[in-house]
Amino acid sequence: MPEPGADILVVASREPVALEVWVPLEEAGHRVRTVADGLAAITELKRQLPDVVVAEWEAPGLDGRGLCEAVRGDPELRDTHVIVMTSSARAERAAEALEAGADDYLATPFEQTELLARVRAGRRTSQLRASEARLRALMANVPGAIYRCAPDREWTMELISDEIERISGHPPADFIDSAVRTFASIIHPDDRERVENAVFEACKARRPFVLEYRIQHADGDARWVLERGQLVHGTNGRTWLDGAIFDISARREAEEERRRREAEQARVAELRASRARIIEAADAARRRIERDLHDGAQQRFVAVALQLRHLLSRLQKTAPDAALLLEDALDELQRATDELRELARGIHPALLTERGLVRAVEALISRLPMAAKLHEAPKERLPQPVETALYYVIAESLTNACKHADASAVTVDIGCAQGRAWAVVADDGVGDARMTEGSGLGGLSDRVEALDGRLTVQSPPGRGTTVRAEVACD
Amino acid sequence: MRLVVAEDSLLLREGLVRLLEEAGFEVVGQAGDADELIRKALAHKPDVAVVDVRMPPTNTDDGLRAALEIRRQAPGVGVLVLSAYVEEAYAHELLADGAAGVGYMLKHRVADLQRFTEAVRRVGEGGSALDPEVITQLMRGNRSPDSALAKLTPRELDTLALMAEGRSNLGIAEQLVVTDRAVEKHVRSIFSKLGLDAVPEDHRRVLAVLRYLRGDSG
Repeated sequence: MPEPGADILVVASREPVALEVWVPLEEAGHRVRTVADGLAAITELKRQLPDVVVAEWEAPGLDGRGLCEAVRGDPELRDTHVIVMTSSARAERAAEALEAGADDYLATPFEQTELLARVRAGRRTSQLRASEARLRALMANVPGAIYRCAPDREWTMELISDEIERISGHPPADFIDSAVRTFASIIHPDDRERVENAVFEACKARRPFVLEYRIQHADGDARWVLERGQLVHGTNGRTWLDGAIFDISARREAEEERRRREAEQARVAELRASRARIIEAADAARRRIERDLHDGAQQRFVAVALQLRHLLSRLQKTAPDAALLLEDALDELQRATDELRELARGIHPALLTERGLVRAVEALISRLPMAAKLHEAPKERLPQPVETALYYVIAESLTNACKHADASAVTVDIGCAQGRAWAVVADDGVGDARMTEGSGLGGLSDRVEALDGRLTVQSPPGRGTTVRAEVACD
Repeated sequence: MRLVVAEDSLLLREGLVRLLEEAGFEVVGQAGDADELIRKALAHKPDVAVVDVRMPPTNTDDGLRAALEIRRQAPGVGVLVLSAYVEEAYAHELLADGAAGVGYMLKHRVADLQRFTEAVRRVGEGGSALDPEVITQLMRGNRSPDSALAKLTPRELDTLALMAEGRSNLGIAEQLVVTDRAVEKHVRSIFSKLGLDAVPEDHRRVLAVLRYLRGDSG
């Protein structure tokens, strides 16, 4: 398949020369522009870069040497492929031309085939340069340092792009041929061995490697980088490591932050769970004490009372004086039994365990010396810790309403929805109640918070008191 | 009168049995847990089962549950439930199917021999025996203004409370220190206000008590 034509600029002051070059190139399918001198050539080059320039060495005005120097000195034109035509009679001209910056030369007179061959070669070089330029632009713009280095322990750099300065704080020139420092020297000491081994293993297995490790930035801080690379075989049996290094410190920091947050959340959850366990253990102890009192002391008191009554019925016939004394003792025993019963009930209301929060609160309300009403209540039993916490909040609030609030009525609401359970106790008393460290409600806020809950008291002076406890309820 | 006594504390159970036997009852069975109680009550069909609320196996309210089960399977067996605490909730459960042959008392009342044996006897005769503390609690719980009970005068309420304890008109008269006739007048008024005129006398009494205990409205 014939190559598509190239853009060629011919610089020739004399008509015959121009024709001699122009005709065969046109016939070969190239697009040819001609200008008469070096200055016009510069103008034309700036208008549109050709693939190849074919210029006379000897020319009026700006000659071949001037043109070559101007082209090489201009960053925009520098990569242009320039072929200079020199007289074969003056062999030293060729060396001069190359010295001045020409890429190639043609000795006049020349064969057409040679001209076409030189132009074709020039064009290939030009294309190679263009792709190199694109690669350089790409390397400069990729958000990572692209490198080629020797596969040695120092990572001796053949080339490394400017981005390495942003990543490491050291200019790229420092690393080229390890001029100032080796790349290995900026790898974090704790990561060096791991990086070396991973690269070595990957090269041995002839597969690419991806690594995350720390480097030491010039500012003294550690940075996290991601490196991708692989072993490549070059000419002359040489091998290289080609790859790219990216700064991933921001991502790493975000990950660290997330991990820290998760750890903190886990710690808070564990703290809450341990508090819940402590409270649960205390509740279990209260239940046990109540049961022990009930099954032990209370039973025994009743049994003793029975025996004493038995004795009393005999004494009444035989020793009426002693019987009177015994009756007094029995009354005292009765009061002790009552007190013990109320003590046990206060330690733990058995009804709460056996019939649940709602029944236990109803029983509380029925013993209140004031008008009280349970408005709303869930039909289902709630988990035991939830019921216990809400029970004590309600009991304490009702006690406060009776003792301190000078209230005439109090309402209780209990609810449960969407993983939360709550109790609200509202009275119409004098208000101005405060939840302080030493108060009964203050002690209960620990219990509520252990269930991921909150205890709030609203008590504006003269406008009643509303206590609200809300806890998690799965 | 034949009894089964269920109480897990051996000391107390033996005390109870001796006391009841001396008072002239025949104790035909004794039980130390709920299962044994149900078995013996259904086998012996006593006039009354005297039952402690808290008993094995779970030591919570096994006795109460057993008493309800006996009522369901053998309605002729009266149950007198003894409890360290009286709970309105338990009273409602016990009385859900009627107050006839049901008693619910604080446990330590057993030391008051006369009161206790009277209660056992009333339950055995198909009456009811409720602890005054239960009555007090229920009265507090039934103060809703839309209740039919709201129409009763304080004196009528006192009379009804004593009826609920299971007392006869004579007993009520003694307690309130009024004449027999005055109590009869109150009782008639109570029946009328609760809309129970057309019901036979004995049944009326039970219904009135029930209505009172449940705090029925209307």
